[in-house]
Amino acid sequence: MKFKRISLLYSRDMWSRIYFIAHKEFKTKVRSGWILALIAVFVSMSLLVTFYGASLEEGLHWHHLEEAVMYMVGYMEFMAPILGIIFGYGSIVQERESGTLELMSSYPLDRGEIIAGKFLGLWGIIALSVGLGLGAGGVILSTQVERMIWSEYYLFIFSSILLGGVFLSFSMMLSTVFRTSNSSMCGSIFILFLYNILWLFIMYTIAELSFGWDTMVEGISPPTWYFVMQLFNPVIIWYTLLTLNIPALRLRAMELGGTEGTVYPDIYQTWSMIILLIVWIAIPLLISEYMIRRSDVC
Amino acid sequence: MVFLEVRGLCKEFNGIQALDELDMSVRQGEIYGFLGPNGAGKTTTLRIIMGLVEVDRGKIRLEGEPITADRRRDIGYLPEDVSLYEKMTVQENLIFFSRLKGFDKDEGQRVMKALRIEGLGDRKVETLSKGYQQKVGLAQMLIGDPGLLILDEPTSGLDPSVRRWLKDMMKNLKRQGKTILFSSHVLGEVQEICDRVGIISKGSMLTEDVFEDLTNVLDLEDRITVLMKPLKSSFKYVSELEGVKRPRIEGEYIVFYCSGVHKIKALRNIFSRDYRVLDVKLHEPDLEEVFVKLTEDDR
Repeated sequence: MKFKRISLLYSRDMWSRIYFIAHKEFKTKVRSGWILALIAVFVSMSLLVTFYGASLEEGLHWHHLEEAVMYMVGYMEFMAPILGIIFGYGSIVQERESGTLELMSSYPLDRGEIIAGKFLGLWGIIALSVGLGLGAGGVILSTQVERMIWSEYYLFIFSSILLGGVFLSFSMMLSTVFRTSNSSMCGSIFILFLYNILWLFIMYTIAELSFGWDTMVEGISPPTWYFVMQLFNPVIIWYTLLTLNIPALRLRAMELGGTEGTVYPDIYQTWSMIILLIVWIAIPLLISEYMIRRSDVC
Repeated sequence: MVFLEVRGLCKEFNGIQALDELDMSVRQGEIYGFLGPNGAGKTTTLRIIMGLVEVDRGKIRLEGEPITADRRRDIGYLPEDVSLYEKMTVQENLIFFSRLKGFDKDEGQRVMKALRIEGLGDRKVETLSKGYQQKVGLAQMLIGDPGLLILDEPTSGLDPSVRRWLKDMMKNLKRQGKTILFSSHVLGEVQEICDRVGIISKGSMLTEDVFEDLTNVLDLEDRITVLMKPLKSSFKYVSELEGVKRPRIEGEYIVFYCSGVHKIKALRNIFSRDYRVLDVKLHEPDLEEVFVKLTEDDR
């Protein structure tokens, strides 16, 4: 049995089928008018946020890279998850409702290939949207700011694509579990709220009840377990990845939060944050794969 | 030779027994009609064969071997509701499904040509009528030239001309050596094109046989309509003949049911008396009567 699974993993046919499913997803979404409109809105919004982010404190001029990136981070914190949810929530359930999942599953392929193909195709669209949006912002910014640090900016784009992938993976999992598009959409929106809004209150309450929030403001770093708990939120991982690599961003964030005394534990490294984001993509995908395999297609 | 063999299939959905020890044998090169009332388990059976629904118990074998993912290459499937990607063109759909089966894009062209629907290639599926969508669905089923074709209620909701086209196509595919298993509730078409029928009720196979043999086994009566004068006295005479069932007068005709040797005897007696026999019509039992008789417990 083990041998069979391994040989399937390396089967060229399997990768071809995944590619064809991914290609179909990508092509049909790109051709769809409203997706193009969404990308256009995303690019415009990115430019707008870049411009106002850069100019907010010093009049309408583009010259503060850190300020611009900080505002763009605030914007991407919501936009990347929203893109993931938009593309993911209906990915499986809508095919189940229309009957195409039944037809596709009658073909000689593994159901896990459907999950993998769909994820890659849709993630490609997210990468295109984020790449175009932030790329356009970056190009304009580079002509205006005094010193453009491209490595930091590339990391920002790359990590945002990963964050979009995490939420795509989450919403695909819900799309596999739920039987209607509406339930899947509601579940995905809940995940967005949980990680972007509720999480802050949850962690604040935990901090207050254990070591006291004020100690952080007073310049004392919280215990390691608190940092470990934060890793259960992919948005925090993404944000940490950025603050680890964009010093100005970290400084500014701590200034705003009054937590200048915070010292990251050793586990908070660039590589570990990237791996954790990938793990957060993989876990929901594996659950989706398990769910679609054990449930009846129709 | 048995091509597809189903033995002891059981499936339960939320405490309801959908299939209960279902057996079925489809022979190579035949058209097999799978009949049953709504909710009898036809679609569930076909979906289990296609690996879309997990089976609780039972065995399915294709040419004596279990149906693996690889063996599914040799099965073409057309679900009840034609489900293609509506935003894609016909050609794109067929190329996509060809590639999933491991064929190149020429296979899509081949099946379109085989069904003479090349003209639809550039049209988006959403712009096609149900009849044309069914034709494209049929083309999708033929990708890879599979030996076994499984169709779930293929004529449902189609207009008569497309139904005729589909039936002709199935006969044509049979001539090419394909084995066809299709479910239907339109009894007339099953009788018209099927070599054998299987009748399912409450998840179990009631019977499967050649249609003519079924009528003999069930001892179904022929419906006999006679125009004879004088009407009243001849009706009294006919009603008292041995083996005559449910006699009645319909307009100027005497109608009754009779089976086997009684049928011949009754007709001989009618002609041998002094009544004036002006017309005799004999209606053989049709599949509907077989179906009604076999499933009358469910009603």
